[in-house]
Amino acid sequence: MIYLDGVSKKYKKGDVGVKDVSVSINRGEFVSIVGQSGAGKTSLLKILLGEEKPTAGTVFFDSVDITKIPSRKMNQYRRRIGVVFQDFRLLPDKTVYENIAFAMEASGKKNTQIKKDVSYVLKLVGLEEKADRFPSDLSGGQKQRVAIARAIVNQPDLIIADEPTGNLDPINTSEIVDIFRKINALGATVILTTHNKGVVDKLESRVITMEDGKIIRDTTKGGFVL
Amino acid sequence: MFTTLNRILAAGFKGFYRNFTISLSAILVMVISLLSFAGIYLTSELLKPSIAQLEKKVDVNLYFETDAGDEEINFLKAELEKIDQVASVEYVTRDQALQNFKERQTSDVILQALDSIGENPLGAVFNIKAKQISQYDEVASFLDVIEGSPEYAPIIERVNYNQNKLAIDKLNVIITSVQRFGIAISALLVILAIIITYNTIRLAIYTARNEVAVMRLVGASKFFARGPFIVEGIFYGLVAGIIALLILWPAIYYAAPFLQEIFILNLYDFFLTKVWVVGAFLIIAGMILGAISSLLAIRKYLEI
Repeated sequence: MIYLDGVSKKYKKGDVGVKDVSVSINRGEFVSIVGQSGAGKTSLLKILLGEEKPTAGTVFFDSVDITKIPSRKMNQYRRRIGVVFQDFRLLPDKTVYENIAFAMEASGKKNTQIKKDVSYVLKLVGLEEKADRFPSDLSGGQKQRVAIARAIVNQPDLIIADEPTGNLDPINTSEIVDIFRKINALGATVILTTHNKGVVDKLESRVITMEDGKIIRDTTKGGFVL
Repeated sequence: MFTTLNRILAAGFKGFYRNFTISLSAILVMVISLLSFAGIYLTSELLKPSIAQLEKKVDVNLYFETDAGDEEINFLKAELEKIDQVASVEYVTRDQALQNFKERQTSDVILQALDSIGENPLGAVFNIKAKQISQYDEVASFLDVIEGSPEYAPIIERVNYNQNKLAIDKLNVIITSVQRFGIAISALLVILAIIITYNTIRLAIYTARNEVAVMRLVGASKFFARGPFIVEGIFYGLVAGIIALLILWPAIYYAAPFLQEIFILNLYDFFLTKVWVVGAFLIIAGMILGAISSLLAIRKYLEI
């Protein structure tokens, strides 16, 4: 599904984000990317999202080289990816329901479908009771569940989660990990970056370890080793 | 498509409502620039009848000697009427000229003096009108040639330009200058309105940065992301156009009686006949102004 070949990213100031990364990820996989701050995890995710273009190498997503997608068509590519961030990025003046519905509205879905799908994902993340609440009424874990619901509501092929449990306590972390596993079981490919050893160990799935922009370890069923 | 359009309109209106206080300055400058355009148009309409009336009074007079023969005069009249620029040649016979003169005189002394002469001292006159005010120079120079020709020199006493021409020329210069000045001021105001609206939309984009980030995240189209800001800009223009019309209407109503004393036109009556055109102009021009400003701001500040 995803194939990176010799991907490097150098920034203008000379900082190196990613160095000669080659990796392939299959459909339906659950991949954790671990590494210290500055190891290149976020740079790699930004390249996958098409937010940054690599300075060298190619990135294939289902046989399409995403580095060559013109910016006007980039949105169509992004619709195939759901993204979750550490800081949730919810819209404070919209309710839980509206936050999720907004993602569907932005991609041009019909109101009847929005109603149906939002209810479904709210149930999936266990927040059907909180549909009319505003983000400020929710706990960190609940906010992250809304963000996940928003990321999956358009049924993307790939979910990218950048440190999704970074702001959460252990109980919430565990719940969020369970939700990701559920989503993965439903067929979506999940790529997740984390610092959290507990998360990686609990997942018992493929782990890619990065250091100084390079992949230094890639284990199919690994734990957190640094 | 229709659903998306609806959503864009709703989001645009929401943005307009949310940013209303910061948009006030943009709306105000738009109102002023729209009013200045309306002002130029109404001023030129106001002056038109005055100029037309003055133009009617312009003519060139050709005075014949008292001994000029009827046949020669009629021949010259036919010749003059053949000239492209000449609209009409009014032939005032000697008798008619005397009659006119007598009617104009109120002083008995002059009339008695006229009687004492015993014969008609006045020659026939041609009152020549050109088709357009600008053609009088050509007509006059043609008459100069005739006056100097050996054929007609003995029967023509003089050619006289009515002084109104000078007044009209001066008036035209003043009107042109005022219009040019007005257009320059309006252009400046339009630029100012665009800059201020541009900055307002820039602020609106900043205020909505979280929404825009989410739109980017979920792959919203450029059309969906940009649409609300264009709608917001258009709303500013719409409101500015309506306010401008609401200011203009009573202003003209109260000013019309005073203006009618100076100029011939009743501006309010004229305005009522054109209210749809003026209203549509103000609103559409306002909306175009808003849309242009938004497009400029979006191109620079909205990355999707």
